[in-house]
Amino acid sequence: MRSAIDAQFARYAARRVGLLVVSLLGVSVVTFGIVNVLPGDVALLILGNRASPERLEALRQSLGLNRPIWIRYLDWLGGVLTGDMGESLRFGDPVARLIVQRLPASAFLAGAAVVIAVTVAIPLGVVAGQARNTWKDFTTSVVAFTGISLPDFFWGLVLILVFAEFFSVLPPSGYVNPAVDPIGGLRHVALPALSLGFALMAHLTRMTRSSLIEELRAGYVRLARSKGVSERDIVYRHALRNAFLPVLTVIGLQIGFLFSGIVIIEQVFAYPGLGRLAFQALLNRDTTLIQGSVLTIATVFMLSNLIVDLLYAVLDPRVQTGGGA
Amino acid sequence: MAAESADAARWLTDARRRKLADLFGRYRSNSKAVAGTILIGLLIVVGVFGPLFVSLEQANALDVANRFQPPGPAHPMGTDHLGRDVLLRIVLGARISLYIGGLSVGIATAAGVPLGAVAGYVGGNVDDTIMRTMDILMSFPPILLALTVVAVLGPSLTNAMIAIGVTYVPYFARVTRSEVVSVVEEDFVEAARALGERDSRVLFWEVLPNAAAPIIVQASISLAFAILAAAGLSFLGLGAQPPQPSWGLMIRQSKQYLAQAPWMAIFPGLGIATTVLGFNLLGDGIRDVLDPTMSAELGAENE
Amino acid sequence: MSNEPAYTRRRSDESTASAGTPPDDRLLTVSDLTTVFHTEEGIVNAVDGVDFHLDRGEILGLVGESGAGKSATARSVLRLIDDPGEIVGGRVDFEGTDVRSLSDEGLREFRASNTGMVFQDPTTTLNPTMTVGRQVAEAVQTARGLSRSAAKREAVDLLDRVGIPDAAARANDYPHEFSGGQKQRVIVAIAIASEPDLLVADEPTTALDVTIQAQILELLDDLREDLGMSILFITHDLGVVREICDRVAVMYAGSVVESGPAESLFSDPRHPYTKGLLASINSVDDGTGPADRDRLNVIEGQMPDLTGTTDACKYADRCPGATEECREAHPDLEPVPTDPGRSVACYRHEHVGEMAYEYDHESRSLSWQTDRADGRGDAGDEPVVETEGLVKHFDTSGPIERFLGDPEPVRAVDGIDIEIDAGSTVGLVGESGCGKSTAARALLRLIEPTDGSVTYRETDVTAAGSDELRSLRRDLQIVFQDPQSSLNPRRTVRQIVRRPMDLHGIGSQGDRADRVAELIDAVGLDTSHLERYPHELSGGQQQRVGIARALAVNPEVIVLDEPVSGLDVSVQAQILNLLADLQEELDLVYLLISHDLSVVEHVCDRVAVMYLGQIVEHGPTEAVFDPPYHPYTESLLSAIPGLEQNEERIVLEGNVPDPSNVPSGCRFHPRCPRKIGEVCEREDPTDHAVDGETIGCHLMREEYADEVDWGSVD
Repeated sequence: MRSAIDAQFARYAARRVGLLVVSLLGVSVVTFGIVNVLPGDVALLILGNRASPERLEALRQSLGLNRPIWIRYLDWLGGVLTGDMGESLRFGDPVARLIVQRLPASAFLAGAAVVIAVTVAIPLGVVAGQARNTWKDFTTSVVAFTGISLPDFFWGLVLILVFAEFFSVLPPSGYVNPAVDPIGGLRHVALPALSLGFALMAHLTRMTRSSLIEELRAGYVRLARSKGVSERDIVYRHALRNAFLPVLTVIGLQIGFLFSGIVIIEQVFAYPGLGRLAFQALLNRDTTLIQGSVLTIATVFMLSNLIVDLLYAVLDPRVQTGGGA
Repeated sequence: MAAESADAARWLTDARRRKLADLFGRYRSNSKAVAGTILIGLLIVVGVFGPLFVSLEQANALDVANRFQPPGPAHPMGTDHLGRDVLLRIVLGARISLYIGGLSVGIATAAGVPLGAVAGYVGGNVDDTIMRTMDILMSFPPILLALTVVAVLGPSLTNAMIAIGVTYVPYFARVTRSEVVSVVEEDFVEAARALGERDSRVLFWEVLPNAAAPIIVQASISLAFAILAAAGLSFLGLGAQPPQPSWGLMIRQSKQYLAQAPWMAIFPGLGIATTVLGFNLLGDGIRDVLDPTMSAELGAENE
Repeated sequence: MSNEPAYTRRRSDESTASAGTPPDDRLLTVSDLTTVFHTEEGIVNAVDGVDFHLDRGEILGLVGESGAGKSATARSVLRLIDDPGEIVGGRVDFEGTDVRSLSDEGLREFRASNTGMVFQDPTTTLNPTMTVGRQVAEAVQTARGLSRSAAKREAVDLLDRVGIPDAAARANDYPHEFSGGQKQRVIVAIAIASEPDLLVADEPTTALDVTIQAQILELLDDLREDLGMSILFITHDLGVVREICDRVAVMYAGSVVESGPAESLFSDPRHPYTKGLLASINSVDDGTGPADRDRLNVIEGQMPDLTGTTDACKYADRCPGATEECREAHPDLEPVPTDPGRSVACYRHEHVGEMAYEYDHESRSLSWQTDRADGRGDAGDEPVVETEGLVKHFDTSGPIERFLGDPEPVRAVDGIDIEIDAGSTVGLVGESGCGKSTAARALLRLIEPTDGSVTYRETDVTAAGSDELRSLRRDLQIVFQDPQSSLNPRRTVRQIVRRPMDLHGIGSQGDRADRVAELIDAVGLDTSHLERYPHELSGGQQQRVGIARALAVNPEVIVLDEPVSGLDVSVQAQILNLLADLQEELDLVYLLISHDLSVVEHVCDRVAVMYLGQIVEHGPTEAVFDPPYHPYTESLLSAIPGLEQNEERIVLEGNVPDPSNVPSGCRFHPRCPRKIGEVCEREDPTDHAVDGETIGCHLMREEYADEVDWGSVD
């Protein structure tokens, strides 16, 4: 039986990966499309309004902008598949190298934010869900509503104000590679991760609470009571695992918002990650870098969703074939 | 249609009145819905009537001599780095928030609901095509997509609004589709088909009204997100442009003077938080009101 | 089928009589139990001063219609009442201990070691993310504190004991990998893990097919004997009560109205409600065929609202024998002087013999429908509706599956022929998943048939263009199983009934308004219902609205898809009568889809029995049922609970197979109790004419006649 289930899981995973590849192609089309099809002449963007028509034409020629769009797309895609995303128009460096340099910092930040959010949210949600309509529940609700309502950049500024300006205990900006200096790395990531994780934490707390309340009404909880399982075991052995499934779905969805937050938060804390790179590229009209970094962020997002889906399939034996979450 | 015209004369039939009274009763006893309504109500009052008393010129009046004034009798919320009154700017910012939230959610609803409804109702290849496209749009982190669009179109409030609207289309499509798929399972839909109703009528007359509740909830919560996103774009300098008194932009401008004049950031921050909180509370409250299964309804009928 | 009283099933000797039971045989005594639910509308008195007792080794049936409070009573006994509910009074005495006074830990131990419970819906009752082995082992551990590995071994034994094949391996599977019947077996295993003295079974077979129901009832009865436990059996199904219970307590509107030994209670009901219930069900069960289309005896009206207090007998409004006395207070449950083993809560129980339930119906044909109904009665010899080789296959695979290979489609309907004559009713019966509902939808072209044809009065329905199909919709209508789901919750009854006429442009505006009123009257409602929303109506009333909507376009053919299976017994009888009246008055043609053979037997002129997408036997109702020739029909009939069995019941093993992977040869052969041999696996049995009916079974072929033990068939 075990091997049959594993085979089923492998099938499911293969299906998800297949879908991912198709979606990635779509994402590459959209990314390329936004930059190249929407009104806005790249050459004009680069050279500015006062450039002479001859210079513009020369630049178009050198960038290959006069070729049909689909040929340019295939060109770009072929490059991406071989690890060549072109060169940054601004910095002149290979886009791929710039991205690889910045990726670890962002991964560290996002990971820290998720860890903070999950470790706080789940216990908080469980307490609130169990002690429904008490002061504990109410307090949790207030914290959660604050979290989903405060803009992350504002919250980041408040944290800087309090911990960096007022108490001067944590650095307000910058990044230290945690592999080189673990303490310094953590100190530098603390404030941005807290700003980034607060909203996620709030969403997860709410979801954990409502999902647990729902599960505690399920038929199997009644069965567990009827067989004399203690209330504690009912929550922790029965309801929590089932309640975690919708929470996992929310994590998958919210990772998207987390990645959006990264762009802003890295800006607030002058944190040298991928988000900041992408944002600079956008400001500089650095089209190759825009394409490369947006595609990378979308890919990382989709990969994290794939992980969430597979985790879901591991936790929920009912997910076999058919459309995933 | 004829039945409707006959009924239209007395729209408020007894049955409707009972139903509305019932909804209103549940709404009134839901503290989240009431709190959300009060917050949004205040915001609307400020947004609609504020500009009658405060002109853009007043809000942008420079008074460099009085820059960085802390909150006090003359300037209840202090002044900024150019000596402008923060309160006046906050008042005008309310309208911008509402405007950007309303229009971008309007765009998202107008495109997302029909797409999701058709996908869910027709099913098959149409469903696959629409929803795969939506999936691809959802593969971009929401603000990143909006950022990219704005960067290409050029930074402005209108472009930010369009970009955010487009970003949220797939969310509405998804919610609508999943609800339509479950309503289509109901027998009354098959009954309508068995009577020979046209598909368009079945979809828009029988199915969608019964799928409305989660869409309304989604709209309210999306308003909150859209306002947050717009503030984020303005904060990055890609939304509202100076001298527009947008809250996100005000926080952007306060960044350099954070230690010196924290009120420059705090009041617009609270403005955004209150607005977003209002829409979140309202959305949550509406969900409870429209979906009473979540409340205490188990009982004798449970057998 | 015989009409003798039908309670001959073996039951344990010591428990048949309760009158002289010594007190130390008493396991459970419930007195004046009161449970309320706090709702927005007020306090619902779900359990209102209930008294009953249960002896060791006894099965007590707690019967009643929905809303009677029987589940709430059962849960109150184990204190399993959830939040808005609260036990506010009374005593639950279990071997001298008051369950209501137990501490939380005491209660947990009580549930762990003394009681077990089986629930109605097996699919939501097991934890979906825990293997069944662990769920059973957990029950073993809480009851006996065994080590984990010992508990696991014990769990496998328990699963084996409740009839899960290959228990050791299946213990590692998750609930969704089991069929509904098997899930219920797992829940039974959990319930008996502590070898409890008391098993509470709350509608344990309601969600299951009749053949699976028979399996579970047999299992419970065996376990009761082996373990010597008592069972509190909650059900709405009087047949099941007859089948399994020693004593019965009948509940109505939160109160026990009558209790006593099953045998005497059924043969000699003392409460008018019991009498009425039996009247509505007996006339279905006793084989009254369609030849004499007598209406069923019905209890009119519906159960009162349980909100607030009452100052009259709760049954007075529906009781044919109520007097002034009955309007003063609800009577107490008191022993019957002449028969101390029985109790009844009725002031006038001595007069119950004089109270009669009748169904008087004034013919109220719809004036405006007769013009179109003319000529419907006689269609010559031609059937009104005819299907030929109707097929519906579903292709469930996605693009990736298709790419990997050509998968088998789901053969929901696999070539069926049905003919329905003018003014008659044909029944289509079978277990769930046999394709009967799909067949009906394909017939109406609500789903496109894969192959085959449907003809209505010389019009080819399958070939009709969209305009022609739309006008055909006026002739072919449908009534659904779940009345709540069949009405748009956002439309009033008036809008629902009127819309079909607007759609098809029937009559003038004024006519339509009149006809709405006439229709609503014809289905037994009145104009005050027109402005209501569906959720403000009871299930029976909703079903009446559904019928009125179907009638609004003046159809000739109505597909009735399980029209009464979602309704209570007394309401079922009301709806069946209504349908019979309408058929008589309007010359309607019915196709009745049902899993309930007693309803089919009562209503239908002809019957077709479906199994796995095919019709295995069809013919006139008497010919098919009396006696059944096809082994599947025979098994279905044998599985009906509460009917007399001359011999051991045939309990069909297993479930309906997966319709995407049909067995070779005769599709029934893997489950067939009368399989002849290899020929059944090899050859698809062709239809054979026997006694005026058609049967698809090798048993009917002459060359196998000598291999058949006919003695056991008859």
